[in-house]
Amino acid sequence: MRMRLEQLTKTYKSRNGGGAQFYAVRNANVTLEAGETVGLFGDSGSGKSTLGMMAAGLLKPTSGSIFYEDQLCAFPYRGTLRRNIQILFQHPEVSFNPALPLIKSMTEPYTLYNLPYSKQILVENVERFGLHEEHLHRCPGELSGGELQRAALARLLVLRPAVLVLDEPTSMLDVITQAQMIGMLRDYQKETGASYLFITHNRSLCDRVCDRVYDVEQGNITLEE
Amino acid sequence: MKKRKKVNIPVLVGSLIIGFFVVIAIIAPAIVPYDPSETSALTYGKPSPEHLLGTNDVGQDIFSELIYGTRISMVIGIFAAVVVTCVGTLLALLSAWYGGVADKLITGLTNLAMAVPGLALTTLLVCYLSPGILSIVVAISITAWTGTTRVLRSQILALKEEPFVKIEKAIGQRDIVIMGKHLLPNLKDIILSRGAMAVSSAMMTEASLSFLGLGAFGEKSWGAILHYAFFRNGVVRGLYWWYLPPILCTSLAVLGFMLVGYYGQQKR
Amino acid sequence: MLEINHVSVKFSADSDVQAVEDVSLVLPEGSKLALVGETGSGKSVLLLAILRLLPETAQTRGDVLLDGKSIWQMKRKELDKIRGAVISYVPQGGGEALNPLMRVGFQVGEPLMEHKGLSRKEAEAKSVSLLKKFHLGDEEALARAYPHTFSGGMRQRAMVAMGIAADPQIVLADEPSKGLDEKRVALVAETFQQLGEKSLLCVTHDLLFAGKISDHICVLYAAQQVEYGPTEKLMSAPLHPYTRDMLLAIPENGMEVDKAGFAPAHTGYENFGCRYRHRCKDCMEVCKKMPPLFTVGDEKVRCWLYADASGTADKDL
Repeated sequence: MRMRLEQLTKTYKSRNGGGAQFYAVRNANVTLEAGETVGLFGDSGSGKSTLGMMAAGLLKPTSGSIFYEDQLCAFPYRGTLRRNIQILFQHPEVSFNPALPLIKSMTEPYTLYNLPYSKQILVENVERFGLHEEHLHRCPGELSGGELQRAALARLLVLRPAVLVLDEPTSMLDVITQAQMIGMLRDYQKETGASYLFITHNRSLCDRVCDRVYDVEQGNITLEE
Repeated sequence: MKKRKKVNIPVLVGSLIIGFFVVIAIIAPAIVPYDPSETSALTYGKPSPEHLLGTNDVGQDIFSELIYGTRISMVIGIFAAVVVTCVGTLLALLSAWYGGVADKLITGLTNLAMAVPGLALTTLLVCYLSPGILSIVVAISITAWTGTTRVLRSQILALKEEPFVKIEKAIGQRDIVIMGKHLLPNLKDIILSRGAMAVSSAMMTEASLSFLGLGAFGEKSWGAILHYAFFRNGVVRGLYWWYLPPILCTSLAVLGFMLVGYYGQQKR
Repeated sequence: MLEINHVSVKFSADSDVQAVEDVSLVLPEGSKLALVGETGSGKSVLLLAILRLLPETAQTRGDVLLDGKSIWQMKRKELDKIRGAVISYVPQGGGEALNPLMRVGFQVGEPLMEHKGLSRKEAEAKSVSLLKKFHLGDEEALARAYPHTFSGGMRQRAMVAMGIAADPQIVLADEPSKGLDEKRVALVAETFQQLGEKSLLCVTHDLLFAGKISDHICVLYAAQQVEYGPTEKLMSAPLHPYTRDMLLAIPENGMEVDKAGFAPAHTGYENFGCRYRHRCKDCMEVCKKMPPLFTVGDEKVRCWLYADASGTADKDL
């Protein structure tokens, strides 16, 4: 089992009502095997994004444990663990630093982990996602949502993560771009056996893309049959 | 696709004013007709071809004083603003990025500093610290950083929630790099704008201090010129060429920085 | 009957980007037309333009006629009489357009007070029966409640209720299904199906939703009309490559897609040639020239593939 979330809970203190707890996620139990795509299906506000953030090591759980390959994960993630679990968000326009040309953001994974880097390597990588060198020199404001989301994916995959948390990655894209993104994700999964935690509120997309689905409603997670 | 950039007139005007004073401050020694510290027998002289703004109570040329005063006023103003902006930004970063104890401490400190009457503390400090430009800068800065910290803290808290910052954390980028490469560049408009306004406010404070006689000894700032103009009976005797120019210069310089600071923000 | 004649919209005089380019549509009485397109295709802007709801800086060309009379040339007084009463507009956003400080019953009943002269009590009573049409449950209590106590889906339906409250002839709906889950989308679709003799012009990105509520579909791409036809024909045998690719790409249909065709950034739309050619499998040499809108039977297509099949090209463009 690649990843296991056990009794994961996130609470917030309620503003009014004098210290009453608000359960964003309550006792979530989720498993993720190698090479599978697990869906978190629910309405907005149901807690699925909160759960995704905790799985990605970006939000500290109030209680519960996260296991990656049977090792208990401490918050925040560090080292190989940090590299292996990555996340894609819903809004491509703010997935890159708006003040920098794309190339400055795209080189970071290479330099952070001492991966071999040259401009040519970078360009070859992005071309597999339908982008060209001229895109790299533009700022995020000059690129479309589809281009930015593909660039975000290209950037993450340089790290060859084993787990990707995908928080509504295609809901801001048109259907054709969405289909292309899903295709790219499928290719990567076939190639590396990566696991995906796919968060969505789109039922038909969920059914087509996911192997197993958890229903998320008001913080409660239940496995669908 | 080229976008036609609309010229921001207030910012342009403000920049011209600032540029003007900066140039004057730099070339001061080259353009003064007299050494401002040189006294002469011609006291309380009226404006004349030899002394464009007349002379003060000890025969020093007011016009030359005014030109050299530009240096002091500008230097103190800008220096204090730089200190205020740097301190404010640093505290905002530590407080907003790390949260927890650091945030509580810094927010508490900010609230405390805001509750203290700034000018009173500044005046007190100036009296106790050894006289000099550095002391004045410290005294001015001691409570002026709170506004910057507050504003930047809320901006950084908002930026922290943006997907791209979260992704930077996820790919394992170091905190320092995130702050320098991803947070600050997106805040530079606000920082510069608040910086410009900080100069205005520092200049006003310095002018007040100097007017009260608490300014730097030796070289006179505009406020100091005004001090002597007032306390040496220049006002009572109606010698407007002595007290009006420093007032006008201070007001104009403050206006210049305010225009840049306030209207520079409107770009968004 | 609503006629949209060669309407073009630009956001401002110095903007290079055209939001809507030369769109012509006819909405006969009782017909239901869906305007389908992705974000940025210009469809929402077109809707706002009809009732002159765009900001002042927007520049428009063409005209919109209601029963032969120009809406765009009308005086403000006449326009006010039409807005809400004859033509109503239901904005997108899941009911965010509801005033958070007013009770829902009052807001839904407002058009009745304004246009039909009902008293406040009468309007609020009528609004309860309107809400009942949408099966929201315990409608009396809901009418007395404030918007934030409703879920997004319920708010959206309340907005539609508000839109039809004053019994308009034409309903303009902007993305009524956006952000809603399947169940709610089905409910909204049901509501639209009950509009009876009213005309509907509905903007949506969801082709399947369009299929449920319309008898004709017009597809917009990059500010232009690229296809128009009866719903069933268009959905089963699409003419334009974009429509075809869209239908293949939706999850319900298997998410098939040409991996190599990618859309350029909106700033990359060069001013010559078919705007879909970069992504189009059937792109030909002639596509470097902008295709006109060809007529093929009772359908229209902006694609060179149909140059021979058509009788004549639409005379403008």
